Amino acid sequence: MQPASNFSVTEQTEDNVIITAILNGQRHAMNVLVEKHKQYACSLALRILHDSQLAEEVAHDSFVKALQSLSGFKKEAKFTTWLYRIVVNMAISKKRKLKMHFEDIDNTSELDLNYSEASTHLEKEDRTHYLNQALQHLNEIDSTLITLFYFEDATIEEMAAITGYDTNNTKVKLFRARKKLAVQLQMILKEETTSLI
Amino acid sequence: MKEAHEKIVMQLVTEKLSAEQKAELLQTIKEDAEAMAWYKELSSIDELMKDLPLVAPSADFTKKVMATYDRKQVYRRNNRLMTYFIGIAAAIIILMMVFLPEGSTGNQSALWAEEISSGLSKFASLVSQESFIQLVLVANLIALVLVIEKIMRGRRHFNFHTFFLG
Repeated sequence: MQPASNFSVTEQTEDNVIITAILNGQRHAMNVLVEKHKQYACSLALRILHDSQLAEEVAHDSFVKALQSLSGFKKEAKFTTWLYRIVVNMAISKKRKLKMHFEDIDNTSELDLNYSEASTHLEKEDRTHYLNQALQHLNEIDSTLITLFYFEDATIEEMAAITGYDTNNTKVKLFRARKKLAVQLQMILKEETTSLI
Repeated sequence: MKEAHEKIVMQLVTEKLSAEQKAELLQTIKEDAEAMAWYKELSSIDELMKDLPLVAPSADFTKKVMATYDRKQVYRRNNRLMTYFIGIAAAIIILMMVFLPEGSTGNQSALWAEEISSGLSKFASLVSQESFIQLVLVANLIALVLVIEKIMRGRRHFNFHTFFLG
């Protein structure tokens, strides 16, 4: 993952232009802003809630909240960092309110080396399918970090700003989250293989 | 896996490194089978994760967001208007009580002032007229400070129409 820094700068400038237009009363600019970020916002919420309807609800409320307090947004920061922080906070509080069950797997570092090698030969579609299942077993912070890292190409600093952890802590948490995901994926693949046999 | 090797794996999969830096770090964990297995596993997951599709919300998502936003703006505007008019009404009452002499009953404005004063008689009976005026003045002063603070906070984008009418 090598995010192109120029891309980020352009993105930030583009968002700032849209935001200025909104603050100057150009209503259609709001539509543009929502359209531009809705997929990422929904995907992030879905990774935390694992329910598409709830995820859409949270993304919806996050956009309304963001639009309402847009005049307070400081343009030195990236708009997405600010928006995702709202989405993450809302999704986590929604999850806690609904007391949704999530399985926080142990911080295990047990990786079956032989199996790991063998599982890479599976069809890509199958691995993707099981990867989705594995993602559902992560807790909200792990899911958030992984989603931001892969989907949004966020830097460690941006992830830290969104989650509220310091950069070192974020880096360690992200690494552990990815390890958990790998172990979880392996466990699912093992179960599937056993059931097939 | 050794702690030092674990840190290298973390560096390899989390930081943005050049091909040379990557090769150098991989060389140091080459002998550690577990560290190498972790690196391979996490790298293969990287590939899969990159291919995971984003979630598309319903087609009318933006429309729904805008509708909710508009509804909330109307509610906020009404609240602001209400506060605004209550403030004006309070200011008028104070002005009437301060500037209209009690004896000038022939004056229509003074009659209104009397009406309002009698309407407030219950409250006025609790406190003297003087302290009531002081109380209202202090309340207005606080409101004025709050308005100025709000203007200063959002001065970059302050717009009279938006502030008072939403």
